[in-house]
Amino acid sequence: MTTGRNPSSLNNSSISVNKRRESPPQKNLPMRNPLLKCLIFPIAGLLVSIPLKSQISISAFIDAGENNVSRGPYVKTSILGDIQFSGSTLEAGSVANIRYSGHKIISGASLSFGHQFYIKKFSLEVAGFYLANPFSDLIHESDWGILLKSGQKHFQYMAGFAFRTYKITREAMNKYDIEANTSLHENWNLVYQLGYSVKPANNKWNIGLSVTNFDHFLINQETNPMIYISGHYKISSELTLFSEAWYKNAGAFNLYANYFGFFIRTGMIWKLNLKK
Amino acid sequence: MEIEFKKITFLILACIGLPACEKFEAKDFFYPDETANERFSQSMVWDAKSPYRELDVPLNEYSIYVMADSHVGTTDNLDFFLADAKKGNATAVVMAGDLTNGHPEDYQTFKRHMPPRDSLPLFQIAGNHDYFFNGWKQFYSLFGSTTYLFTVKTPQATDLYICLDSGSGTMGSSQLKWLENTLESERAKYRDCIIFTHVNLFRIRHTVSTNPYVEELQVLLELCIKYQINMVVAGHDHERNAARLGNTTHLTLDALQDGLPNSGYLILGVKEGTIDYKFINF
Repeated sequence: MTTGRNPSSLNNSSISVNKRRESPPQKNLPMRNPLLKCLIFPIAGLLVSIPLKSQISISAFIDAGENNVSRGPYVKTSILGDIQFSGSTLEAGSVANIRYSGHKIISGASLSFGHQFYIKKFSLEVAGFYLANPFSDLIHESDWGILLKSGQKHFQYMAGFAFRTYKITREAMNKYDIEANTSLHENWNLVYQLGYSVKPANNKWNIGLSVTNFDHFLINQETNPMIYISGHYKISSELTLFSEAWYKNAGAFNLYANYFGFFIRTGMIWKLNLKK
Repeated sequence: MEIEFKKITFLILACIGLPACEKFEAKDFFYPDETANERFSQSMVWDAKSPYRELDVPLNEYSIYVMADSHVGTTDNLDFFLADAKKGNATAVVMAGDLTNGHPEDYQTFKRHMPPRDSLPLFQIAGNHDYFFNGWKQFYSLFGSTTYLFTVKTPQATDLYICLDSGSGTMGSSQLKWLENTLESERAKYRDCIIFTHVNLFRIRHTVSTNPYVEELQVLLELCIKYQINMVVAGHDHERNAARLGNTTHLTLDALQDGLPNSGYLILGVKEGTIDYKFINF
């Protein structure tokens, strides 16, 4: 049934796409060290933290797993340092790929600042964060956003929003003759976490289950939740061992899911109290 | 307070896990009838028996009509689209997923409305809705592969078109490897290269429709730059969008589905290597 549909009256918009250009010879680029770029956050964090004489916490962990793009097993290692003072927390970290096919060695860095406050007896933390994800020589990703965190005896909650930007590197611009449209900004993305643990949060040991789209150096789209089981054991007041098993299922909000990947995370948290 | 949170958590899980209606099956939310890798393997079997089509055009100018998300059911817009493609002397028609709602009778309705294959070259790609109710078996028996190539040869040059399966929110490890190998071996032989798939890559607008996992998206974006993909055309989000990152244009189509206020389709015009696009709305 096509009555009343006259093609000449159709709304349309037309745009021309430039012809593909031949790649010019690659120019010599000034030396850019991504390692230094990514370590700047943890280094800056530590420099800020030392004179403050507050509680410092260092978390180091290894991820081992596989996914649809890893071409076999991958191994990553990460370090995160935070300083807590006057109800505020400054955290910085970076991740290095030990084995990850096609990925750069340093593939992420993070910086966040949060402040805890109370509404009556209800504790809330507001945090702002920035993630740098230089996953390729050709294109980088960065994210920033704001999170609101809270928790009850057995439940942990986090909600917020983030903005993602993809930016083409200067190397790619020169190699592939890209002159314009070098970055793309996505609309805001909901960030969330909902967790349940069998013991109260400050117990010597605990086991929990969480659903989230946020990991330390990665924010998935809100429609791609990840599920993980976690457990920790406090060896002493300073040292905690922890382990997590993450499962990633693609297409959940397509209502037609497909396995994407999994990884196991094992690490330790070392707390140093400098107030003594 | 904690009891309230437990209730909310239970309700959220119940809302996610329990619904089943004529639009989808709840079990597919957790476990699909077949994986992306299984569909890819079957597509490769089909492709081996039916080598990719090479379309010859006598001029240096041609057009390709593209639609997505017809969700048949009803076929008013589909009929109009196909008639317009014929009238516009389209070199090919690409149908980028969610052609049906997955029911066997939807597939039969869709098939009945297709013109004879020799009158208009048709290229179907499956979307997530096509897989519901064990729909992949219907799709495969009627249309065959959902991962394949076709080319359009003009007197001046030949252009490469790649159709990909993304209906599960991931292309799967096998298809991704195939894509990279195909681009590595074939891309340099052709002038323009356009990718068609169902799930849109970016979230330019805030939406509840799914995109590829960020880690997979990173790989796809790197391939787009490295192999100078001119255009990626997708559906899924039901609302048109055009974005450009580097030398690649990313288009998302309006749905062709009947009864939507923004129903529409897309015409690609290729002239001496330059690609024009035009969104058409009813």
